[in-house]
Amino acid sequence: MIIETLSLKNWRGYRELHSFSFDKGFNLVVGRNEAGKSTLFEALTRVMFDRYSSKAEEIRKIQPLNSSLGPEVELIFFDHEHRYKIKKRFLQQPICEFYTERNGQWDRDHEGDKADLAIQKILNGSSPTRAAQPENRGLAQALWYLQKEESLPKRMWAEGIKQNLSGIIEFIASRPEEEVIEKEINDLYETYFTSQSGKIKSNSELADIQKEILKLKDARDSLHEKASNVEALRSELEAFFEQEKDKQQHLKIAKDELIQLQTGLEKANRIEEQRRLKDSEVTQAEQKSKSLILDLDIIDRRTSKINALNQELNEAKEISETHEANARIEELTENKHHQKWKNEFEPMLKEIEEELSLYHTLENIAQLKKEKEIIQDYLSRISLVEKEYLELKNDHAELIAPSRKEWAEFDETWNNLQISEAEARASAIRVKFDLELQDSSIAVNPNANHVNQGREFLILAPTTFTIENVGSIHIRGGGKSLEELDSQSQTMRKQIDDTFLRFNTDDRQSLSDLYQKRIDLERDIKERKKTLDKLIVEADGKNSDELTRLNCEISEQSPIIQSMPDVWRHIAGKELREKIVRLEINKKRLIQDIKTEQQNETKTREKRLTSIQNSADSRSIVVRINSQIGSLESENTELLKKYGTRADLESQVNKEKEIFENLKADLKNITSNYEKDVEAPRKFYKDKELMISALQDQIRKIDSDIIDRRARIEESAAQGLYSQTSDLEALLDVKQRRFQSLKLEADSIKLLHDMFIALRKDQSNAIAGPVSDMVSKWLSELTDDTYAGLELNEELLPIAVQNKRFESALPLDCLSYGTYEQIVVLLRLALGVIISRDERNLVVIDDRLVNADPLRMKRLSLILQEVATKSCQIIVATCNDTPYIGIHGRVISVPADGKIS
Amino acid sequence: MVRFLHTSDWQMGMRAVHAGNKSKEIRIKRYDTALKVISIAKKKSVDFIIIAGDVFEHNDVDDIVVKKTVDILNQFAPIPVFIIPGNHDPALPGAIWDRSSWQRIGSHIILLHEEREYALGDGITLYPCPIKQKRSGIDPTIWIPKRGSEDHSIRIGIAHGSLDTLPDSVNFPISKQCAEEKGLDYLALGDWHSYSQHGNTLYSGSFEPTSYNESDSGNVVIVEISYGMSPKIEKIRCRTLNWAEFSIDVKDITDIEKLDKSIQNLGPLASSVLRIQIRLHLSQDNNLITRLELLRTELEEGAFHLEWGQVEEISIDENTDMRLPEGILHDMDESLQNILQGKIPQPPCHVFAGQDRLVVQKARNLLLTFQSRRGK
Repeated sequence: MIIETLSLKNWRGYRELHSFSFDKGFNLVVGRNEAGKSTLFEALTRVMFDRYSSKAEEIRKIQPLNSSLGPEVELIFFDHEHRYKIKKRFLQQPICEFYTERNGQWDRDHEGDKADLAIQKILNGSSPTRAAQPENRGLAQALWYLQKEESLPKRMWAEGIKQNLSGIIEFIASRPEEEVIEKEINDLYETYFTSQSGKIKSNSELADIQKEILKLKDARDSLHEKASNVEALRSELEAFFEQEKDKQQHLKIAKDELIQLQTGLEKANRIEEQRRLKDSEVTQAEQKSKSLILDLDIIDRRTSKINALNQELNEAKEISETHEANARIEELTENKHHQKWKNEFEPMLKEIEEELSLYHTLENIAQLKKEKEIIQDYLSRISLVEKEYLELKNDHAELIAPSRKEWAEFDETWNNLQISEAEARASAIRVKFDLELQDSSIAVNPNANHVNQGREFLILAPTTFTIENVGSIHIRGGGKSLEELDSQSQTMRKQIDDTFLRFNTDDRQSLSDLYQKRIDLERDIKERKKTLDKLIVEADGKNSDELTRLNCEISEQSPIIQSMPDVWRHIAGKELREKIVRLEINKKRLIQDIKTEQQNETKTREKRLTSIQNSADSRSIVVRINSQIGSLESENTELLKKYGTRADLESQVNKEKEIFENLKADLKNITSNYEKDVEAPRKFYKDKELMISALQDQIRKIDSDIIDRRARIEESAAQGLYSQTSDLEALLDVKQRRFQSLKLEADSIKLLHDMFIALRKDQSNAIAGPVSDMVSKWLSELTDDTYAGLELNEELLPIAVQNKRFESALPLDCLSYGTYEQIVVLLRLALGVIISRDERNLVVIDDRLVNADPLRMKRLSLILQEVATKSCQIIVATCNDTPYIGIHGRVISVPADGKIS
Repeated sequence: MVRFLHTSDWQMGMRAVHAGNKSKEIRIKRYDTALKVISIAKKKSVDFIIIAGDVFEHNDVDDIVVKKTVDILNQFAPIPVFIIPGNHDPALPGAIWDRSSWQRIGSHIILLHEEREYALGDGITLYPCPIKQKRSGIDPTIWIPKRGSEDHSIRIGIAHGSLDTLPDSVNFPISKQCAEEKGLDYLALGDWHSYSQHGNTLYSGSFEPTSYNESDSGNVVIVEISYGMSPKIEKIRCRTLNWAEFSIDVKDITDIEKLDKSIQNLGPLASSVLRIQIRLHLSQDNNLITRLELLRTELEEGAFHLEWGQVEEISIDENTDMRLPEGILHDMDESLQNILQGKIPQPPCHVFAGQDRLVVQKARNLLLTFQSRRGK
């Protein structure tokens, strides 16, 4: 696709209609900054790739400043030998018209959205949306290198680019119908696999069947397990039947054998019967014999017992007599002891006691007399002190003297009076008359005394002095305080006077003497009392009553000693005491002797009583033994009644023994082959019966197991497992065959798909080759072999350059920005060349070579010239046309060359 | 003279897994066939019926199957029915014959489960050879005593096993000389599902086909025996369904028509159980696929059961549009052919050299199919 004419109006700086024509080769769009060069390319992209009805902000921005007019653009271009015209107006009454030139005339083929679609179809871009995104521009993404855009896409060219590039192969192969088959392959592939990961689609029939098959297999396995359980039950059942059969056979054999053993058993039973009877007879004989022996034994034992008892009886009697003899001896000894202490020692003791009593009385009387003297002494002393005491008390009672309290009151009053008078004198008005008249009397009212020898009058209150023949003098007084003082003094004075009067004294000293006298008297009384009390305490109850008592005792005891010999009566003091002591010692000794004899008597008595008791016990034993002997003898007599005498009994015993022995011998004969004739057959028979019983039990058990297994098998059969399994397996078979079929198809289509991609990728790589070669050649020319080769990735994006200095390739980001830009320009040119093998395509370079130095620029110009001449329509926009001077082509000045005059 | 009906291998409750989702209905159809046998027996006024084994498919068949079969057998009354257990339903402990549902059989049903003579009266003796295990290499007929010189009865043997004239006769092998050696007037056999006669020894075959590869099943046999004479045999078809398998190459439309005709000859389509494997040779004839698809549709809708397998065989003519265009597609086809021929294709397709042959063939067929469709 190449452009012929681009016209725009109301487009940014292009307010008026401007129209620019382009050469099919090289075009240089020149203009200063802000002239509108890039605006041309903007209009070019928007007319082709923007929806005409768009009202996006970026569309609004192309309106001229302060204008609400709709931007208009018209493009005439060639594509695949057809000439087309597009008219678009944005925003204000937007329109879109698509024309095709036929027979020299423009036919309007489409309008509106259809026109947009028609445009998109031609250029293989995306649906018309936003031209601003390079990836929406189809081939133009690769061929138009515009301002403000990235040099290269980050990951890959838009799909359309690759398709177009791939289309070159198609072109080469001349097989566009491959697309149809590729689509069939992809369509069928995508029914099975996801296009992204190549995994089986989870919602595909293949995946569904796979899941179904798994479920069915699980269900089938479950049923198989149940079936195998049934099989196992059947195997067990078979085994049980075999066992039962085997057991039945054994049972039959056992029963047959049992029948054969029957004869032996019967014989054994007969022998056994005989034995039993004989045994019974033997037992009876034995019992009878035993019974007789027992009786004989009883009689003999009783007789022995009787003899023993008789022996015991004699012994008991002897013991009894011994004890009685002992008792008698003890009695004698006891009496002896009694006599001794009673008749010998006691009288002696009595004598001593009597003598001792007399001596004690004597001593006692002496003691009493001594006590009597002491008491008398105390009593006289007490009496004396008591008399003094009473005298003092009497004096005290008669004395009229102030008490302590009275004296204290008096003393206080006296002192207060002194103080009061002193105060009064100190503050009193003193009046002294110094008259020339002699012996003039002076009357004072109220009466006032001279206070001192100077005949001063103390004025304590309003006072009138009347002086005879002179007149009166009125003195108002010393004030109230003086009056009070005076009053107080007078009161106190009166008290004092009363006191004196009461105690009949005139002065204080006399009163004081009285008081002192009282004090002394009281002190004396106290001392006497104290002495009296002390004496009484010392006397300790020793009073006249005590004295009386002593006298009585002395009187009472005196007659006792009258019977004493005179010599004795006059013993006193130490000698008396010694005698008493001696007698007491003798008494004590005698008492001890008596006590000893009494104890001996007691012991002897106890022995006697013991002997008596023992004798009694022995007598009771004798009685008991006699009784036992009698009882045994009567029992024997009773027992022998059956037999006669003992000898008869003995004879019977011997006879029975003989019978018993004979029977035993018979029995022995019968049982000589007992084990063989009886026990063995019986044992065999019993064993056989047990065996039969065990077999029958086993058979019953097996039958029970058989019934159980059968029931379980039937139960399983009732569940319909067989048909369920059949149906499941049939369904599984269907599914598996379907799965196999789908799997085969899926695998085969995957193979086709993968193969196709591999071959397509191979082609891509084939495309990359020419592009890489072309760019490498130009790069080498441009950089003077500094960079000799360009590496492209699968996405046809450059990744590194070969530098002869370095062994490994240099990543692009190691290059300078200018060199990088130049490589990008070369890449786009190369793509343009390859894409343009069929027809020319437009390559746009919007001021992207500003960083090229003059030498590089010169070389670039040659390349541009070559490409423009041979392959592509090139439009280069620049501010500076100088580097491009050598290139043949059209120069378009912007905006001038576009003006419509 | 005695007349009886000989049948065997009813296989009631059979799985019919190979019948896909029709297996259940196929099982049910066998009851219909059994009822037909009743009407044949009554119509032919037979004296008794012999079922020579395999009444049931397995000792584990559902109880309902047993009950239904018992019900059908009871409908034979009052005609006696003599049954021997076969290798599918051997008289093992826990077998069907022990089930409570089987105990409801009428008194006219006699299970011959012992190897002993069974005198029917009127000079007829049966010699049953019941099977008591699933596999055995012993001839089940060896116990049959030879005819005595004074024995003028009609001796009929009933056995289940493989006559040694048949291929793979290893399970319960039966000597083909048995009838002659033992002096049997007739040896009624079961186990082989197709009708087959060998002198006085006869397989009635299953009364209803059980799979595709049975040459002549779906019959019962009416036998008339008079003493000293060869038995008269009448084979009567009683099948309900027709099983058939076709594997054909379809190169042109006539092949399809032939197939269609063959299917029609089987009988009513609704009674046809079909397995059809087509090897389609794609060609210029556009009608071929259309006709084939039409036939398939008809059969899917009309047949009792259809198992359809189709493989496209591509034959490429230089002058046809089947050739793939130069480019990727051509390279793909070339690579696929190389792999099929055991060669390693050129890169980048060499990585696919180890693919499964079937997958490669199918891939190629798909590719060529796409091409052929595009050509239209």
